[in-house]
Amino acid sequence: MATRNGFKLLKLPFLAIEQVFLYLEILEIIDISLCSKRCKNVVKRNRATPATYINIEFSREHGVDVCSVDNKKAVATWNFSNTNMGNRKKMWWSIDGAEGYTLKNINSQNIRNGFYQCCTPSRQIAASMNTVISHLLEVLRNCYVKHVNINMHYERVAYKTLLDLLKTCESLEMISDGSSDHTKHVLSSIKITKTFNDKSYLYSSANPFLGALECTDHINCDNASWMRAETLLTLNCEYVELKKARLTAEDIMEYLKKWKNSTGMGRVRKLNIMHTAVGIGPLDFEELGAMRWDPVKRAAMYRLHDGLYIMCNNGMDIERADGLLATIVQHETRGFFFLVWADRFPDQTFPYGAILL
Amino acid sequence: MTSPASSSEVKYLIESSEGNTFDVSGAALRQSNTFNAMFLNIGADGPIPFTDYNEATLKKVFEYCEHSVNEENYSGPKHQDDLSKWDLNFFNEMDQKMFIDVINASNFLDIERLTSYCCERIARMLRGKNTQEMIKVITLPTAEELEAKQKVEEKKAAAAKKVAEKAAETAEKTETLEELPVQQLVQTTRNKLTRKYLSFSNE
Repeated sequence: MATRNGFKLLKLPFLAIEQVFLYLEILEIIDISLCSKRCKNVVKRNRATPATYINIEFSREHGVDVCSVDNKKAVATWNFSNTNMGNRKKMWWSIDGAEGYTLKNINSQNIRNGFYQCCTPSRQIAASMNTVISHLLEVLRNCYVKHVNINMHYERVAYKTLLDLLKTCESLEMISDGSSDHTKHVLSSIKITKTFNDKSYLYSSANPFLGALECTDHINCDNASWMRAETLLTLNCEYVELKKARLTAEDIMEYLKKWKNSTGMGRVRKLNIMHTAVGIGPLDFEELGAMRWDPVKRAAMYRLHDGLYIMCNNGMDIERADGLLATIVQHETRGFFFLVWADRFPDQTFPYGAILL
Repeated sequence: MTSPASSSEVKYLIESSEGNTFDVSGAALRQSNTFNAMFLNIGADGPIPFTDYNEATLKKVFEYCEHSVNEENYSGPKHQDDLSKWDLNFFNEMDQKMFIDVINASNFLDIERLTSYCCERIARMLRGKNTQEMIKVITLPTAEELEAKQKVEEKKAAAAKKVAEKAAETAEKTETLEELPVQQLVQTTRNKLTRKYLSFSNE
């Protein structure tokens, strides 16, 4: 039968090919896309390719994971390094000059996972990654970049090649010594939609980033000295933590006034700003129309996250026209807090082992 | 003959690409959504023309339909492991060409069960294979074959180039051969004229 001599898949009507794809896993669909240009186009047209996302690692290791949206498991892993093909010609693949070999395995949960080793000279790793990522984004419908991890200690310049391709991602984590405006370059190059985690630790504010930050979930910066009022005022993010910030009391007043007079900024739950120096200085509570704590209006303890609570009975409250209430707390060691009460009277049980600020 | 009646006893005449006709039961035909949409309600006057497919293919397709008449309604894809002995024999009997023709016909006639079994069968051939193995399965030229093909093409191009160069050279030579006597003629005429002019001026 057909199995012995192979099967001319591309001779089938496209609807039948699509039905064949229904029985294949993402890994096999990716493999078909690597067979030839025609195969790539057929996969590209396939409407039933399951939804996927890509995670990118650009640090000491260079890798790309294709994960299934359904079960969040990696179905194909690409590793990029300066290795030799050896005698693995039988497992060879190639995409526009990037080439390597494939190993497949079935893990303990019976999930097939493909390991694609891209053999590329060290200097061309970023370019090879771009080639592979472009291919994947092109052939897999509903595929998007979810997480990007960049460590500038290993790649001080090459990461820029990667960012030339990526226009948007859900979350980005970067580590840098902060000496080369890395944060500014990253934020200017890519739109981060959910979470930004910047672990740059050196103090550098010579070149601030003045654009907007559109993250909706988390912003966590170990060194936010680059942030100015222009960017602060664009934030509509659930949890924001800015360390080593250089924002002034005026900048923060502008932000608070914007929040109070707005009907938007509904995502904001927690803003924490810490400075290298003493603090942000006094705020004009009168101008904000802030009031002292009223136990009738809200509870005293606010849960920052699992295991960390803050006592807000000394905080000042501001209330919006739409009834949303927020508290301003200036903590001795933890800096400035702006906390929005989604629930004014949450559970006040203090769990064993938790910390209260 | 053909009739729009829904009884399974009713036979319909099917016409193949060769112009041959053969009988298929109404119950078997009703597995085809295309048939249901086109003929079931309005009826067919004369043989139903499925003239894009040959007799052998259509007979094979309707053989399957006749066999699965009594099976419960199709409710989504079934694994090959769950196929009956008859089903397996049905698929194993076909050569590759017939298999492709059957899928094409089944796809056109929109016989969900048969199309889905065929497609699952193809998917089985591809499962667990790496790129190079898939290239072999779906009978695409491998990288080495492409390389060899490219070499042959390069050789052909080189040979064609040589032939073209030779032709050009020969043409050039003929041109010069043709040109020489003309040039000589012109020169001799010029010389003669000069001499004449000189002799005139001397006189």
